[in-house]
Amino acid sequence: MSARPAYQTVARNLNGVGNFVLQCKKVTFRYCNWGGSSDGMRQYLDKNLQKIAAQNPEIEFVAVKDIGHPFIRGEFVNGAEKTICCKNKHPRFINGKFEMLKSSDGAPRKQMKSPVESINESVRGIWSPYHTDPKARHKI
Amino acid sequence: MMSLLRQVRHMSTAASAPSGFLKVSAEQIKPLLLANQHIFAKVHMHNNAYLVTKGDQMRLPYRFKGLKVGDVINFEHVSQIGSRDHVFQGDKYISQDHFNIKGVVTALTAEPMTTHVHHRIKDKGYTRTQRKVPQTIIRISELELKA
Repeated sequence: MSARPAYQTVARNLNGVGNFVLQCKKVTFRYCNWGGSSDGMRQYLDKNLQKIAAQNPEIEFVAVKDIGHPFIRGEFVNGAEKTICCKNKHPRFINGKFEMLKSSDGAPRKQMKSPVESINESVRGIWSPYHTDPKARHKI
Repeated sequence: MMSLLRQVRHMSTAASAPSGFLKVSAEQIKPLLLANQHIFAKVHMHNNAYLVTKGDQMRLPYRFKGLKVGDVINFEHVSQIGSRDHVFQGDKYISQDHFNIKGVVTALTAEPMTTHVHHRIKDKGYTRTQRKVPQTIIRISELELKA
């Protein structure tokens, strides 16, 4: 095992080790009082905004009345934003997108290459022929 | 002294220990593992094995049903706990009295959408299908061997 450079040995923030922090910190719903494309968003906010705000005390909820098509915007602890257009959408669609934002971590999506990602050093290290038991070695 | 060290270098508690491994009981091997802070565990989930240490992130290509962000998972099926030199191994799984391994669900996301092109006779050319596999991200929050 070779020694690591100092910048790699500095403690990093690992969410979930010790304490878990929900990564979605703010959700904004934009709607229009006049436009027909905001019909679903108005229904959703009328019925559900108070309920979901009470169920999720970690998240800040904002409802903005503005001209234009409706959207949901989620803001995350790492500074990222995700905005989803909800024009002419059913309240059921908007609820699904809210759940998606809530359960996301704000990181860019990526494909799974290996199931376990680790920043720790290898426990067993690199195998060496000089440090194994002579009885366990392969005999030619 | 070196020969003595070499003898205790590889120890296992499995019923069928590999050649070169010294077969010992759980009581004999646990102090050796507890002395070493840097340990790994081989956990089994849906018949797949994952070798993890504390603080690791698991990115699984499916969505657990009924799981929310922030939930704590208790790993029950563990076949190996080991350090650099020693392995504590069950016959199939280690008894749950010996360890405490937990993970936190940090995110439920998906991979980026990819397009796949199929060339088949019935397509008369090709068809495009889009795929976005859901993912569950788990952080190993606790990994310890009980004394």
